[in-house]
Parts: sequence; C-alpha cells; structure tokens
Amino acid sequence: MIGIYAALLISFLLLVLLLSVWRGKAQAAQQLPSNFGLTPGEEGGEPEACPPEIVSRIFSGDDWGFVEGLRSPLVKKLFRRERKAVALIWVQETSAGIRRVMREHLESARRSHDLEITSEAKIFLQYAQLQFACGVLFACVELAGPQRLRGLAIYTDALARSIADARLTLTAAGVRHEIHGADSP
Amino acid sequence: MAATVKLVPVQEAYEDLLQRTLVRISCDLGRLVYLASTRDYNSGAYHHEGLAARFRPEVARKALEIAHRQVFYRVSAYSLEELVEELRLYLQASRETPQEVVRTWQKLEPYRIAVPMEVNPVVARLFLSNVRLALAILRFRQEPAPAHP
Repeated sequence: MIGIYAALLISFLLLVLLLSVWRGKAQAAQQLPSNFGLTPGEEGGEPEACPPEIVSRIFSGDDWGFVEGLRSPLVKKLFRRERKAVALIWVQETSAGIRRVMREHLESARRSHDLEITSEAKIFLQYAQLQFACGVLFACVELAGPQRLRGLAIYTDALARSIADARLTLTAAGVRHEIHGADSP
Repeated sequence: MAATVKLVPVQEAYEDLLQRTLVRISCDLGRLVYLASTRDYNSGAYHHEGLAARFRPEVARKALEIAHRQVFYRVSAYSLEELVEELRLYLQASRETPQEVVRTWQKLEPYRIAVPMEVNPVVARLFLSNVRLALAILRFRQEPAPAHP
C-alpha cells in the first residue's frame, strides 16, 4: 500500500506531465493552419464566440451512434479523425481565447488604482480551473475521441463565458469609477 | 435613433428575401448554397437584383449577409443524420445525377465557399467536416452492397 504522500506526489507529477504535453501540443498547433488559416482576431475585431449548441454537437455521442449504425469501417474511421480534429481545435481556441482575455485583464489591472483582491483572486482561480479543464479535455480527446465528453466540454464553455463576463463587469466598473472620479471636484 | 431607422428597412428586406425567394428552396443546404452564390468571389459583397431594386443596394446587401449567416449556423448545428438528409434533398433537386454531384463535391469541395466571412473558425471547421462526412455516407449508400455467395 502506498502512502498518501506518495499518491499525492504521483498525482502532482502526472498533472505536470499532462499540462506540459498540452502546452507543447497547443504551441505546435498554433503554427499549423487549423481551419482556413484564419486565426481569431485576425480581422482586428473581437472573435465571434462559438455557440453552446455547436459545442454540444461537437462532443455529442449522437452522431457517433448514427455512424456506428451504418456499419462502414471507412466512414467510422473518417468520423473519428474529423470529429477529433474539430474538438481539438475547439479546445485550443477556447484556451487561446481565455488567455487573450486574461492578458487584456492583466493590462487593465496594472493601470487600475483600486483593485478588488477578492474579484481578482476569483478570476485567477477560474482561469486556472479552465486551463486545467482544457488540458484534461485535450488529453481525453487525444486518447479516446470527443464522444462522452459533452458534460466536461459544456462545463468548460460555461466557465470560459463566465470569466469573459466577469472581466467585462470589472472593466465596466472601472470605467464608471473613472468617470465618477473625473466628475468629483 | 439613427440605428433604429436603419434597422427597419434591413428587417423588411430580410423578410422579403425569406418570403419571396428562400421559401421556394426545398432545403436549408440549398438556401445556403443559393445565398453564398449571391456573394461576389472577389469583393465578398452580396448582391441581389430584385432586392436591391425594392430596397436600397446596401440594405439588400445587409439582409443577404444576415440571412447567409443565419442559415449557415442552422446547418452547422444539424446532426450528421439531418445533414445527410439535407444533402440527399439537395441532390434530388439538382439536375445532375446524385452520384455525379457527390463525386464532384468530394473532389472539388465547392461547399467551402458556402462559409460566410468572419464566422467562428470552429463552427466553420465543423461545417466543412460534417459535409465531408455526409458526402462519404451518401457515397457509401450509393455503392451496391457486396453480393453474398
């Protein structure tokens, strides 16, 4: 029987390994043309978010059920390859999108005079949680494909949205504060 | 106020497009191909003669763009089974034989031009991937079953 410290150490090492593989893959993937060769924000504006129903569709097991019923090994193979590629792109885009949001948030936080420590800590924790979820999703999709991961993908998507919303709320509050500051004598 | 004044004719043009033109097309995939065909390959600008004559050209352009994006997102969210059925309906309405169209689409991938500009890249990738799969499924169904001895 292994001790609790040994188990914790093994878990920690596995986590580090998982995250380093995920970071390496994500960096390598950024150099590849993932879709049309279009990267988010290339047009200069804020990239459009992926609708939740599309996220649900990518990670749904329904399409796999339909393909399995066709009894064509060729179609099955094509489906696994295609859906895995789309799912990995979604994970990368989500992670990259939220990194971008955090970068912008850190920039504005540096300029801010009255940081709310609890709000900042909450955003940072959510960010760490999201990056961890992306790492787990990436590894699971690589190993077993996106089917049966709908729950985790929807959770990750909701988390990404809540971070983006929280950042917007904080920015709006900062702007209000600056306006009030400028108005006061 | 100015934005409201501008939006009303676009809404009217959009309704007109739905009622007069898009309703006559039998499936969403057909509507998508049609709307993509109203876009200039070089400039990316939409044009529809009748709509531009009834409304202003820029209003018609905006209505076409909105309709294109809406149909695109709808088709992208279809299940694979639904998309295969859409593709089957589209092929049925075509003048060419279904086998011929499937082969051409697999080779030339003309459906790539059905993607509107500035859509989410993941949605665009899912759409292309699903059409590729739907074509493979139809091709598989078109092939005669192997004869058993």
